[in-house]
Amino acid sequence: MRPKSFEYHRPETLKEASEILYSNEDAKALAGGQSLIPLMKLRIYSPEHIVSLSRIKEITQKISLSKDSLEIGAMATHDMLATTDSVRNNFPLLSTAAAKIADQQIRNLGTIGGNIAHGDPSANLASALLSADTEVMVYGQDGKKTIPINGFFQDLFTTSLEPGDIVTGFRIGLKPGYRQSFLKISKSDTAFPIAFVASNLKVESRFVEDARISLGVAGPTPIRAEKAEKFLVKKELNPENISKAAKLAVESTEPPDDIHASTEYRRHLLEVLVKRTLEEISTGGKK
Amino acid sequence: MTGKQLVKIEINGKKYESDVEPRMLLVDFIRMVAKLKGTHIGCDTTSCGACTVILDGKSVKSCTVFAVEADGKKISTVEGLAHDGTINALQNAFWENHALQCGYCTPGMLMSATFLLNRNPHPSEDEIREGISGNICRCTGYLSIIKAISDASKTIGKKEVQ
Repeated sequence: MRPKSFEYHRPETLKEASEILYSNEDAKALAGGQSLIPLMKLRIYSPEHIVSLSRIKEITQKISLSKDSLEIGAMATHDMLATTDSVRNNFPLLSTAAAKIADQQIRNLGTIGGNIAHGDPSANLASALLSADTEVMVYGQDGKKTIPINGFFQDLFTTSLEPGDIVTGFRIGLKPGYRQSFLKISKSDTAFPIAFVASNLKVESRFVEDARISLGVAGPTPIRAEKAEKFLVKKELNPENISKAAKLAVESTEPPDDIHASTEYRRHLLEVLVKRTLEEISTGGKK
Repeated sequence: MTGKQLVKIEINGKKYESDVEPRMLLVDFIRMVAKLKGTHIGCDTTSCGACTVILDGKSVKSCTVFAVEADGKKISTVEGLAHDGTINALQNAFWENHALQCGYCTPGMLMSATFLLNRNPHPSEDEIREGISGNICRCTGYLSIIKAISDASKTIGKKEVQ
């Protein structure tokens, strides 16, 4: 099917783009379009105004590494996250998560900014970013601001972005000594996920000092398994504690029920995945 | 601008321009404006990869790009693979290995394989499988396609198409 007609805007500055998004109620920003265009073609969503971000020089694809953070421009594609050394070496969980999105063609166009602004609980990158100290950099009606990723996702396809806000990039805090694992279950490696888990742990001589575990397709938003995280701190990363943490991680979660998996089955898969990511970390993981 | 928008796209080295609706998809620009019918529309839902083309050096599904967003860019389609009426080494490998039956997926397979071989001239079998995972074939069972890409990687160097 072809999308409904819309008015197309191609501003060259953030200010102009924000103004168009703010002053037109039914306006949507277009980055890589790999989530938005399929929705428009199925006419599930038909915005009256499309604001292309493609000519705005202030939003970049740049990935830069400093001593304690990794900064990623909102227009960086999934393929870039998957193949850029500074991401692979310093936040491997994110490049693994990006490499497991859809297929090569979609990774060549889809952007991290679009992916996060979309607010999809089954977005690999959302859970990956949620497992670190990530700040979402935003340009809006009041100029620049940053929003912590924890709290950014509010409900299904709903974020804390306000009218006129445009995601411009991400700052990911890097701390030494963390080990990571990202695992996903789907019909094939790159197919739409049934469930996935991103775990990011600081472990010193087998004892956990800090734990971040985020669950994908576990509810209306990407979520952190806070009970399991709290439980793990100061505990030895042994099989008994891993099993217990995995159980706690899925306690009181309400994963969606669809043709791919029931709520109960998905909860089971999430528990298994938490267990496997922790096992992977306990035997080395990705530094 | 609800109205039409002037879009200029270079396809296989030739420039095309037309006033199009912003909602026109790149695949429709290629097929209807440039009249290049080698790029196929299969599922039309970003799944099957039959519409795959190379946009500024990267494989993309042209059913999921607005033509206006490709304004000023360069595209290669399946028609750009052959030179002077002679099919290239990748196409020849598809022929030799019976890597097509009905042929509907073939243009997309060829463009995904072109991107893969440009980036990684000697892919492993797993890398080939991953490289064409965004392309669906309902005839061959894929084995002959994987064999063809593997054979092509042995006979060609880098950069068949840009």
